[in-house]
Amino acid sequence: MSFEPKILAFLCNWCSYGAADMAGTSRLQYPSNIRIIRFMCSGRIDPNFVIEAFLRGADGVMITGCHIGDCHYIDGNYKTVHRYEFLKEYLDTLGIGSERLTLEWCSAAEGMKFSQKVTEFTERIRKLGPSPIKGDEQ
Amino acid sequence: MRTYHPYLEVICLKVIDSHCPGCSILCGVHIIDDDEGIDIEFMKSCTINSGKLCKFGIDLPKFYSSPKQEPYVYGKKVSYDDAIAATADALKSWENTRGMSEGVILCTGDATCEELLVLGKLAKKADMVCATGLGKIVSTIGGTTLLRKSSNFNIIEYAKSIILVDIDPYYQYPLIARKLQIAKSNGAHIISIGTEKPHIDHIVDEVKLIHPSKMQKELESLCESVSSETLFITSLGIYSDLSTIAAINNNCTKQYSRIMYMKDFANTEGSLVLGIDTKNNSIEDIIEGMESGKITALFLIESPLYESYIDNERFRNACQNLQHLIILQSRATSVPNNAIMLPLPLFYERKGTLINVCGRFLSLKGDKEGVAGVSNDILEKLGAKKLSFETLTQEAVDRYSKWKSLIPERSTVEVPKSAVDSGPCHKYISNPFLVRGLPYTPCKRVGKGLYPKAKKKERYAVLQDIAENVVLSYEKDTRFRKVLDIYE
Amino acid sequence: MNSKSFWGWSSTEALREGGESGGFVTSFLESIVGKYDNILAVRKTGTVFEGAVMSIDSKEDAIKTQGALHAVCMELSHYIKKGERTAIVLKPCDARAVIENMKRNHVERENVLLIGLNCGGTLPPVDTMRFIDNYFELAPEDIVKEEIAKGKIIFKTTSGKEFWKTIDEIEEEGFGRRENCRYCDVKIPSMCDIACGNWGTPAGKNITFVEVFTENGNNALEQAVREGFINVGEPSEKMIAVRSKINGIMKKMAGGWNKRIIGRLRNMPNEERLAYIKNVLSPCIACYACRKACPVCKCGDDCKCMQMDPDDSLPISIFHSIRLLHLTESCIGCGNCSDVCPVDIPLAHLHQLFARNYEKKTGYKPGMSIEDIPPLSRGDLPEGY
Ligand code: SF4
Ligand code: SF4
Ligand code: SF4
Ligand code: SF4
Ligand code: FES
Repeated sequence: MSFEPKILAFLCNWCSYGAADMAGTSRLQYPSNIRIIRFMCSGRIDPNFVIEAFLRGADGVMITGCHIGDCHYIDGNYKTVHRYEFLKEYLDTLGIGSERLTLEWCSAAEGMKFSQKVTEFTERIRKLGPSPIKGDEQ
Repeated sequence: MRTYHPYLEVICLKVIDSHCPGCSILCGVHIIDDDEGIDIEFMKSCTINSGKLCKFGIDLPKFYSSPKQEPYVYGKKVSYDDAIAATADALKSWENTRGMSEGVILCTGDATCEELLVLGKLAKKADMVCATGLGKIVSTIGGTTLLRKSSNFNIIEYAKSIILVDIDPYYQYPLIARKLQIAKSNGAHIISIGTEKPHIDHIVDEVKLIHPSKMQKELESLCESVSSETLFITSLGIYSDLSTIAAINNNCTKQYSRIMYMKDFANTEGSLVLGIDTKNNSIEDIIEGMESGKITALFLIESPLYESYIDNERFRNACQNLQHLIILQSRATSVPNNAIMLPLPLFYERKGTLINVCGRFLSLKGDKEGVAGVSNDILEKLGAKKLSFETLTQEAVDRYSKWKSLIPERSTVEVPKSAVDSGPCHKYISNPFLVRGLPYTPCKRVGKGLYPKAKKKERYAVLQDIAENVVLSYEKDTRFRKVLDIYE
Repeated sequence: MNSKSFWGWSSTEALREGGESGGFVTSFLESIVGKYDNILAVRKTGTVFEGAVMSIDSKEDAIKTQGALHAVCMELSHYIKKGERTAIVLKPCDARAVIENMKRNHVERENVLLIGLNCGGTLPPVDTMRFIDNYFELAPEDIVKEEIAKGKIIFKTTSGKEFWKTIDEIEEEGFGRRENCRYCDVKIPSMCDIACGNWGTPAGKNITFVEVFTENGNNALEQAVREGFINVGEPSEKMIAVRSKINGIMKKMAGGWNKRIIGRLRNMPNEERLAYIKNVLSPCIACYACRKACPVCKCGDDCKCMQMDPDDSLPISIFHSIRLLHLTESCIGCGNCSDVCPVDIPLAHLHQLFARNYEKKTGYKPGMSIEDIPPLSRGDLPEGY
């Protein structure tokens, strides 16, 4: 059986969730490997969530938020950026590899961009193969 | 160069050198007692454990901070002196009404050597017998062979092969898991025989899942393959099956291999060294005696009686039969209405000596006398002379050094028939939490033979790692039985 | 302020003779008795392998804390209570822990006086006892003094004899300093108010080299001199250079060990490193001792990280993955976690692997100064966004 990556996407309610919605309503195609979890702000995404996603069998994790300056809570996404950098280092050190994590900015109007990014990321993970941390049972 | 006598100093911040009472490894730990409560500090210089503690040791602050027992007489709260007076009266009146019946002083081992000795004296004065619950095993196997003498855990590191019998170091004695790891890296072959697969996958080479009734046969068949470089490790407690212990003992006698008996209570080793148990009774015998009316008075020490016995409901009911029930208890427990409850200081507050499972003579650096103090008060009320703590310590020291010079005898014994039949059975894997009636979270499993319907993540989950027809009753028996009802 | 260097020694002759490096610290403590709510230091309790923290209330108490205790690996930072004015004698890792606790608002900077001691490493007590038994055939009770100097570990016995071996020799045998001390690269506690040590002092003179880093430390020192507890002198240029040379050598040694221990992990291929981490963590018995012993983990008892179910099928338990995550930013490499793990998991080097990689990337080193803000708490926008 060919490898179908499992991708978990953490989306900000105010922008990229809208983008995903728009991608849906405008019937843009993007891979179905993605599972979406909505947050009120990308700044709410605790690094633990990302790690737990990997521990529980995700092959890749995508974080999306409003463009810098557009965050509804002013600087929520600044924190996201610091955490993203932090997580990349963590994933590299742990051996999962930072390329399995991505951060994208998508406004609610960018349905096209969203579907594109999802497709790109899915392809990237497909090439990388299953996450090395997955146990046999997952 | 100045030198200071270590014990003459005034300690401003109260740091008490202590030992964890969780099991008879007796890990060294500092107890910090200040106005903010109790905390622990790791004692990294302690040769027994190098500062390492298991889950129970880490939880000591919680264990010690729980409410203390208050004195009660027949369900009414009274002053300490009144409770002592009531005890003396009870003992006197028992003398008149006892007829042919017996009185038992039961101390499973959470007491210092001094305390054990004083209990011996009290037993003599009141014409009772002392019991530890290990009596039957001791009389069958022989007290000296159950002891480890002046060895330490390092023997584990050097063993060529190790056989774990009915023991899961993960839950029971994590500190030997560490030694097993070292043994393994030194090339030891490690086999586990028991009702469940021990949670130390990284160490064990071979796992044999066996129903308790078949244990003895299995051990006998193993006899040929063990050598003098084999080390058996098993747990010896009030729940141990005599036939298993006897079978191991015989193997070791025949092949000159070594045994390490891990023990559940703090000073079980001490009670064996001091020969406290004079009656050769198992817990089963005692409960039966209580039920049949043969035993009419029970003096119970530091034993969360209602919580931790394998069948605690039965024990409770048996207690109701007694004419006199006297309980010495440090941490608050449920108060039976026919009992006199006497408070004890917490373990770390006491002074005295202990002997650990490697035969080390250790001391507690608290300042209270514990059972010795209480018993002295009772003895005084009974008109006997008080015993000074120093003489008790001296006696303990003497008895210990005498024991040290003994050479343990080894002999094969007749293996009694196993107490369990081949049907479905309970297996109690003791653990420092469970023998003290404390909740222990990560125990959730039953054998698949019995309860195929149990789901994972429920209180009891099915695992492949347990022998057919065995239920591990990790938790309190009442709760355990409820679950049994659900599935039967 | 810029740091200032002194030579210091006790004005009391007996202390100067008897004390380690001229009894400076002891007399300094004497001088501040009564000026703080709590003055904390470690005292010996019988052997050189055991110590206990005591709060010093009198000059007599201060004297009890005399003498080096390399084989007492205690973690002192948690004895400082919020709101109490505290002076404390500590080694660099403890001091770094205190700084981290200040960042977490558990300790106030202005309330504490940190008296740092230079540290070339500490010895695990039980292993050291075993070592002196194996190699010198001495009983632990026979040792009255131990010392680390000039690359040697020296033990003095009751009969006045000295036994020594070089650190390198001992460490090749598998004994010696704790693993984390070998690669620890903070040897002079510059985050303290004052740092004391015998590096950069003339041999046989019983003098302590003192470096003062803060106003607070300076005031305390000046006062101690004024009140006649200690004497100070100007160190020679040559000896200042000697001190920094020793520091350099120690750091270089640490660098070597860093390559050997942490570098080995760092250079593994990703998959192999992941497998290594998974394997070393698997014997964990969920006792949470590592968390309790960790001086920078200061959450209460019901923290979210305490989730561990032995029957869980996660490749790494939530507990460890969260701890690895949180300590990436704050592990100071004190080694307490490894010391207390009942199944000997080498936790400190795992945490240090993460922390040092993160330090490489961001330049943030925990525990060095309360002015350093951890990247995750910064409100700015990093470059490139
Ligand atoms: S319960 Fe036993 S193993 Fe655990 S800390 Fe206490 S004495 Fe040590
Ligand atoms: S970790 Fe560093 S500062 Fe701490 S004891 Fe070891 S060498 Fe000293
Ligand atoms: S994780 Fe270990 S080495 Fe790091 S600060 Fe905590 S106890 Fe020290
Ligand atoms: S100290 Fe060791 S066994 Fe205990 S929780 Fe930490 S890693 Fe696990
Ligand atoms: S609201 Fe979208 S990132 Fe903060």
